[in-house]
Amino acid sequence: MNLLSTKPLSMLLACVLSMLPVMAGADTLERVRASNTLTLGYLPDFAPFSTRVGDKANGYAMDLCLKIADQVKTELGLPSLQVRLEAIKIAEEVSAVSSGRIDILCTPTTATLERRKSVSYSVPVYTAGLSAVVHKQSPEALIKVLNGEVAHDGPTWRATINNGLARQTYATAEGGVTEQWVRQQMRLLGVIATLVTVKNNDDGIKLVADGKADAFFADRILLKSRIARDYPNGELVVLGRIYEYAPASMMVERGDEDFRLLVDTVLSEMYRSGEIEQAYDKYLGGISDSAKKLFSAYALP
Amino acid sequence: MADSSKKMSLMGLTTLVTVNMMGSGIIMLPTNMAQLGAVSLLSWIFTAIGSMAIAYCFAQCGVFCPRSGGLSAYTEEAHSKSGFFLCSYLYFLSLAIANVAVAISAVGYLSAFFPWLSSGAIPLFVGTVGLIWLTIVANFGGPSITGKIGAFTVWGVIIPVAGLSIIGWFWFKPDVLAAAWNPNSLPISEAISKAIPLTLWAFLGMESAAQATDAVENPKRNVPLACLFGTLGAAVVYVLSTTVIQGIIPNAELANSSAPFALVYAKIFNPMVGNIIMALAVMACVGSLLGWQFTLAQTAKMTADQNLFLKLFSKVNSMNAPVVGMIACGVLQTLMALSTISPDAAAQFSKLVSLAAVTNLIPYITALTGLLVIMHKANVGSAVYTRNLVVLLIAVAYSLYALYACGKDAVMGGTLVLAFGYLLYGFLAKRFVNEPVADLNRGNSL
Repeated sequence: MNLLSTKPLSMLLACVLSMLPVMAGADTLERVRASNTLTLGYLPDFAPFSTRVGDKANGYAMDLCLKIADQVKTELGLPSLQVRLEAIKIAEEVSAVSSGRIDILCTPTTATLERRKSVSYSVPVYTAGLSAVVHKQSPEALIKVLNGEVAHDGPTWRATINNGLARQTYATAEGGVTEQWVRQQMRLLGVIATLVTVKNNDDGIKLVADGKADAFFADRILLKSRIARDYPNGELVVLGRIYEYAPASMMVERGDEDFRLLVDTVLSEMYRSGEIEQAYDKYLGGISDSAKKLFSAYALP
Repeated sequence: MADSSKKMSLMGLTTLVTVNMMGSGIIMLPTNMAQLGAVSLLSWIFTAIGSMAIAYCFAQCGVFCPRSGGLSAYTEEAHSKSGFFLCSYLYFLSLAIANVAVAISAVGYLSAFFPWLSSGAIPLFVGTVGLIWLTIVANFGGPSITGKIGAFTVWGVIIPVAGLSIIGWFWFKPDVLAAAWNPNSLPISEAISKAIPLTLWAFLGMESAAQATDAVENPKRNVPLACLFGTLGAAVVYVLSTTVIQGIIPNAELANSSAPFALVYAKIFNPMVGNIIMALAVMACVGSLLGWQFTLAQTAKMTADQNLFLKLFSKVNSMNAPVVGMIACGVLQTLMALSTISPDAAAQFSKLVSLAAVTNLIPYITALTGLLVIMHKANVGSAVYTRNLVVLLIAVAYSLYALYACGKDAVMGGTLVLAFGYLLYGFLAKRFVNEPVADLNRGNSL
């Protein structure tokens, strides 16, 4: 969109070149310089990472992205560079980056090999942790097995009450790594359950709140933030256990090493200076020891 | 005996023992075993031998000591009056707690037919209390009626479980069993050690024959036979049904089934038959609760007859049923059922259920050791004595292992309850100060 240029011929040439198997090298910085605009894409409903507030956005990822914008201004020597925020839908996050409609997707996402065919990623800015939300009234046995503990450590005899482990319903957002993971793990979790899929996190949380599902699996921080917003009375509980970790990063255009290097430099410096830790404290409720160890692994020296 | 028609027959007592043992535990057992794989079937070798040894010793106690009192009477032979009281006290607590738990499980199974029951805490409470009282009131007709109802509800186990042990073989495929052998690829020793806890306590309940001594025709013959036949029958049916089912239903499906017996019948015939089987299994579960209410009331009655529990437990109506005691047991269970209302209380109650297995096993050991004195008093021949001694040691070793495997929390709780029992007995002991020690004299004079 903001790629409109006064030189249609060279544009056409660029298009043809970019179709060649060898990537001709997307040039985000050049595009930014030409349009005098840096477009930060974000998912508008992803608290505490990115939330739309009027025509602005805030959240952990937005703070990080604004730092990157500052660095772009310095690098290009354009102090008056316009920083534009563009909210996008989940379904178009990859195409928005690969088409150049946005220059970077601030909201962290998990890289997959499939996505890497179309886009590239920064160093991780967050470690997603797969966890589950259950109802406060859930049987203790269910909460225990989901937390990785033995359901009951006493004898199993005729009086052992089996409820809590039979006829459960799990929910997860359709598609993606979580669904595959839950399908694989159901047996090992030792619970007799059926899996239903939902369109998004809100639907999944609602199923648990309405008692139609016993556990909904999704990223722990997202769950916490949604529940704090929509179910403040404490009827839903996010488990302490993290089943799987997955680094989440900012999406950038594929094949643009210069821009990617700039992004990674800013982020690595923020890791080292402790700025990321402050942002973590501010938005994500403090940092765990394991996350802290990962920080030093994520930052490039 | 004048009122023999109001007593239970051998058949009634044997079915009582079998249903009491299998009633609620068998329903989910194939699923739990399938989660480990068919390799778990090997644990039956250990469990069946150990539990038959216990049943044999109880039967021998019954042969040589046909007096009223069941486990407590056998205990008294070696451990005197305080042993009698503590055995009854521990066993009574165990049954009262277990009955509430069985009722809660039964409501869970019933909710497949009446979804309202699983719609919240209050329906669960109402259902549990309803079942507790239904099974108590059904006992008001006396032992003979209880035996007859039991003879009916036992079909709820016979048709799905015992039936499967016979007809299931027509659909049995060895390759399905072979594929299910060890799906988690555990080392065999680890798989067996994980499987033993699934079947270790499955035999609890075999003592219910001895507890019914007062209410059965010709107890000297029928109590030992019912104990042996009931336990043997349950062991055979346990082993056959859990084996054949793993050769019919593929492992992955069985391991994720909330109603394995219904599933296998639905597979063999059609889903309608599966639902009928589920209904029968629930009926058997409720039938077992009926049997346990009977055993609980009998235990209290026999202890009250010895002047060790409140006298109200020993009053019987014209049908030979201790109605007042049953109502008292019902009130106690209703109070415990209140725990279903909050998840925190339910968590506490599940600790009580574990503790109840401990207070069931301690009486096993005190009663089994009574056999040594019982044989001495009965002047049994040295061949019988040696044979029984060997079996006794196996039985005690198995009981001790089962006690150990209950885990430290349950054993600690059980020990505290036991120690508290000594305080209670302290208040009762003065009743026996001036009583002649007739039993011991009798033993010496023989």
